[in-house]
Amino acid sequence: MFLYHVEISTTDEKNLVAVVIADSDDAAFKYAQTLAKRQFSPSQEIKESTIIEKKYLEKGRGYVFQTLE
Amino acid sequence: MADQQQRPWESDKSKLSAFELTKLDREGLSIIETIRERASQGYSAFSEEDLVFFKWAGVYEQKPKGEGHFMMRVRIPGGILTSEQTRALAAISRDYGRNVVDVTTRQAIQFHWLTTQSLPDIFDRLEQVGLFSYQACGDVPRTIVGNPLSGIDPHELIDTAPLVEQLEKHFLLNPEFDNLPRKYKISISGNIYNTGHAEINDLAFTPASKVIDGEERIGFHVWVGGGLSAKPYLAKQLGIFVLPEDVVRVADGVTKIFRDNGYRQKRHQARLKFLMADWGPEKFTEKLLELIGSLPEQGKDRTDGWNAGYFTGVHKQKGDELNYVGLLLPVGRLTAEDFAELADLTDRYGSGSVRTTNSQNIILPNIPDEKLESLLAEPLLQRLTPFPRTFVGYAVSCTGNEYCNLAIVETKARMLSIATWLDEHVELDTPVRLHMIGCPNSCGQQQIADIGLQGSLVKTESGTVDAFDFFVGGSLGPDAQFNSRLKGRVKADRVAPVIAQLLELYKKERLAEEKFHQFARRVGTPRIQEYFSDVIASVSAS
Repeated sequence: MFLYHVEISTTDEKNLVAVVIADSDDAAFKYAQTLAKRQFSPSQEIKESTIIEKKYLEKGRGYVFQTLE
Repeated sequence: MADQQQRPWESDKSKLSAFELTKLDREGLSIIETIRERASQGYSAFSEEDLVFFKWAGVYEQKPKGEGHFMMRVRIPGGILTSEQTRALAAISRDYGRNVVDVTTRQAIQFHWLTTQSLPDIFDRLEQVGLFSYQACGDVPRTIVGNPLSGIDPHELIDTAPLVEQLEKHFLLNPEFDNLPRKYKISISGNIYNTGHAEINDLAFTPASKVIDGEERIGFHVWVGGGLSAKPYLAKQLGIFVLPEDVVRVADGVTKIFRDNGYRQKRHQARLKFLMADWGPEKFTEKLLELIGSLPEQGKDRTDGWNAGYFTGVHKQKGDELNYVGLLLPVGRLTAEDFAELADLTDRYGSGSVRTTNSQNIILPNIPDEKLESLLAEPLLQRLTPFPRTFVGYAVSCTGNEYCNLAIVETKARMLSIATWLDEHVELDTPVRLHMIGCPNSCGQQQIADIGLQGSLVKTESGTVDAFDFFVGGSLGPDAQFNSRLKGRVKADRVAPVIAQLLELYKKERLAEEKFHQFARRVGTPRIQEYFSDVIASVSAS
């Protein structure tokens, strides 16, 4: 099982980051897109999803992202 | 462990990660005996914890995890091998590793596809020829990187081969250093072109001189706290001059400081670079001198550039009597048969020595003038050529998702195909170093490349494709600097033409003698970004 870092861009040029637990790249895309869609209005669509990194799922693993100033 | 004196980091266990607590109760190197005892029972005889400690024996589980196949890394101190050792390595690959031999960016040799059952025999075969996989991975001092031309180098101030041997003897299987906070990489080189890549090692020695008692002495300056991975740092120079006879004493002291003061709470912040970032070189120097006694202050730095570890071609050795022939291994991989044949060639034409470089290539040293022509006519040298084309000759890649569990994309074959395409389509008189990595962990040293390429996996409505982020302007040496990321991701099948377009800009706007990384820094990332954005927009539209 891996912890995935996935970037998602939408048709209206919004960019999101999803962190999901999955056992394959395909599953990671699916879970990330499902999670992301919950943040959208119905008119928004996912344009592109990108797996940037995966790590073994272990206690203490994670990703750090800088917040907007 | 009850009768053992408490180690400095044991006093506050709240500052230890879960794995550090495990390391307190388990001597890492004991896994070698465990493997020997249980290997015949197969993969299932080992616990998950055992498999983590396999690293101390130089063995990693390869992709797909859980199916019982392993990668093994073999230490090649200073990159110097005898023909007998080369044959032994080739035979291991042939018998157990599906004929694959990789040369790594730290001069080591890697095998793939090994099973647990094969490991004891491989350990034995290696030991019989004086080689070891032990401590090639894990939280220990790794193989010592050295100048692959030690002893024959017209550009070295001092032959460092004996010092590599002393360091190897001091650190290999030394229980004092079998539990460091994290991996620990040492390099030493007397070459004035930084062949040891000093700035990206935890501890590095580079050539220096100093007048002591009226006499100019050749010695070393010391660099501490470099490393790549997702958070790269360039090593800092300490304020000392080290004579050759003090090298092991200094290495011992720096390593003890790391062992006793390095961070053990979070593994991703445990490398020596984080301690150096907090302490700074002045405090580190002070602590070192407290521990090992006084040393002369810094002398004159004698590093004069960076050759990126490349030696391809035919070159005169020190003394002008013999030659060394630097061969290209495309992206560092060759077959067991070819490796064995290199051993035969060095016996026939040279002195029975094969050398590995940290640019993932091979050197055959000590070739007399009268044998050169015949050696160069050998069929193997038509494939592993000493005269590579511009791009294939300077292309580096990590292992990629063929064997690595964490890589997102394939890299080795792709890097080779991109470099080959560039050689066929771009005329360029200056080498451009291309490095490709399959994830952000930097095994292919992307950050020091002229053009670095980091893989990702992109899913769109039309399907899933590999894609790459671009980084420009990295180098080591006197103008060491990591490269800068460009915004915009390029699909894998468009990477080569996009690089070609970037090189058109370089060719058009470079100054005389200006290398790509120098050009990228002079014109600045905003200028290259503007051009790059236009290129990828046009490539996407086409």
